[in-house]
Amino acid sequence: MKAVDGATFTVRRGSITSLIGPNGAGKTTAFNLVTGFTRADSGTVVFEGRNVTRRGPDQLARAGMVRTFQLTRVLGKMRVIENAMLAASEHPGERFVNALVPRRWKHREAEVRERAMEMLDQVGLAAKAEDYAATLSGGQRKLLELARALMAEPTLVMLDEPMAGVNPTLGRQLLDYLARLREERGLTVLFIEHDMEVVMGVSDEVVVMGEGRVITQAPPDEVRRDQRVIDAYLGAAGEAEA
Amino acid sequence: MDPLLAFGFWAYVLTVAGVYAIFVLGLQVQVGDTGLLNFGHVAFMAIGAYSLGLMVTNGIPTIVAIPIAVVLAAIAGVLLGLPTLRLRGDYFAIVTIAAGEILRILVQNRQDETGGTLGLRRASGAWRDWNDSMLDWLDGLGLRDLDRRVPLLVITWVTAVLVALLLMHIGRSPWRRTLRAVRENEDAAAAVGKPVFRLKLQALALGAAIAGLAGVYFTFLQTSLYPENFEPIVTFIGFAILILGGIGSYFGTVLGSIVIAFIISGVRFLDFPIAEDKVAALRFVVIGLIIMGMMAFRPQGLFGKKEELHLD
Repeated sequence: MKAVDGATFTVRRGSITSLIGPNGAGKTTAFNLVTGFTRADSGTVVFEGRNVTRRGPDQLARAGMVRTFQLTRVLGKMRVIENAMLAASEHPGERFVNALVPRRWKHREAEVRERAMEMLDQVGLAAKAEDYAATLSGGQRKLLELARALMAEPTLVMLDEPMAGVNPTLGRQLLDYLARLREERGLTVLFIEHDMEVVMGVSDEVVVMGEGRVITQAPPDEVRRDQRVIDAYLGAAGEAEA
Repeated sequence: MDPLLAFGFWAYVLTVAGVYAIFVLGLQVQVGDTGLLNFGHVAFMAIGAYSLGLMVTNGIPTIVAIPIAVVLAAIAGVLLGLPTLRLRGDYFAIVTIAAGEILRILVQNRQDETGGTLGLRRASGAWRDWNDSMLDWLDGLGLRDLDRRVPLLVITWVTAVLVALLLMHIGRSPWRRTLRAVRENEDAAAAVGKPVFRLKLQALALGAAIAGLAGVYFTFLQTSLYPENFEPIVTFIGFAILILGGIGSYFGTVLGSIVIAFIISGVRFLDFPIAEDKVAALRFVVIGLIIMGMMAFRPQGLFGKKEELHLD
């Protein structure tokens, strides 16, 4: 049984690319394969010109490829702020040998805390900073995941349905924020989304998957008119009704 | 004299409690902080104890043997972790309990080196001399006719408190935050670049080193080592202490050790109208009841955080 087979796509540096497709098309599996959470039987992943196919998820994250999960994975028994602070990169205090010597990391820790607060503010969770993450609602968890991912200062952020359960106004603000990060820092965004309005509105390119394959990759206007795409969606809908 | 009133007896019980406190502090790092269900923790104590015993009986000075024994326990943690830490929770638990039993049976069967079931005698090396010098020194300070067991009692507890303070100090570091993240969700930790496998390995090795240290004090206390000192029940008593004191609380661990040690060592001296071997079994019944009672009425333990319990 192959969930994803023959799915080749490219995400241009500095672009906002969306990954769409009917339920069960293999979008999340594709994410898992690219980010190293699932081992691919074959195929290659190239990131910033390097073949990173067999690398583990934490290695890829440190290299700048950071993802979120469709089913959120917040660290429930840790504070919201700790969830965000955890993601900071290059923190000397996270090294075992430094754990006993606070002066080696106190400064960085204060920096990280400040940045985490800013990030929580950005996603509207600042007031919840000291709450346990497990007390957050589904939408808030999505926001926390996003904040955590951005806190890691990725060059490519991969978001699995980041808007699901998030109120549309805030969702819109977050998309603007991502767009701003792209302008300022050259952030590349790849996201899975079902809301076609959002997809067509912000994407430079759209990758369409169906039944484990990439059907097409094109700018939104072309995708909208592509008969194969329409068939894939209608086909899936037709089967669902049958 | 009635053993219940004898100071020496209670000094012994409290020393056992101190050894358990150190032992379980190591377990706390693995289970409480990192979420590693290590059911073979006793193996690391055995490695600390037998390493010390084998070195001193082969002419290595005790003062040199102690740090080596602790380091060997840590190395054993790494060696056990390398092939097993990629396993998920319950599978890891099964492998660790098996590893502990394999070690114990190995010690039992290598009779020429370890003494096997006949025991490894004089395993505590120079401890007796140290003990005498300390008693002399205390005598000079005016503390005359102290029980022979007092020096070890004091040193064990000083060590336990130092280890607890050390862990509390480390506990405020970002390193421990990453351990807790691994405990909460490995995938989430990996997704933001935390080296999950290495962190688990570090936690396992640190906990193992602490258990090795407990093994050193255990050896000082017992002088002779027997394989049956290191049966899986020791690990489970450790878990009982962990549950009683509260998972995540170093202070609770220390207090839980005292309570459980009193039950284990104390029950056999109480006068029950049943056969002696049944009294021995009774203490495990009591421990079982305590665990059940805690789970039912105070699942966070004496010092665990209640608010964390209902989160998920």
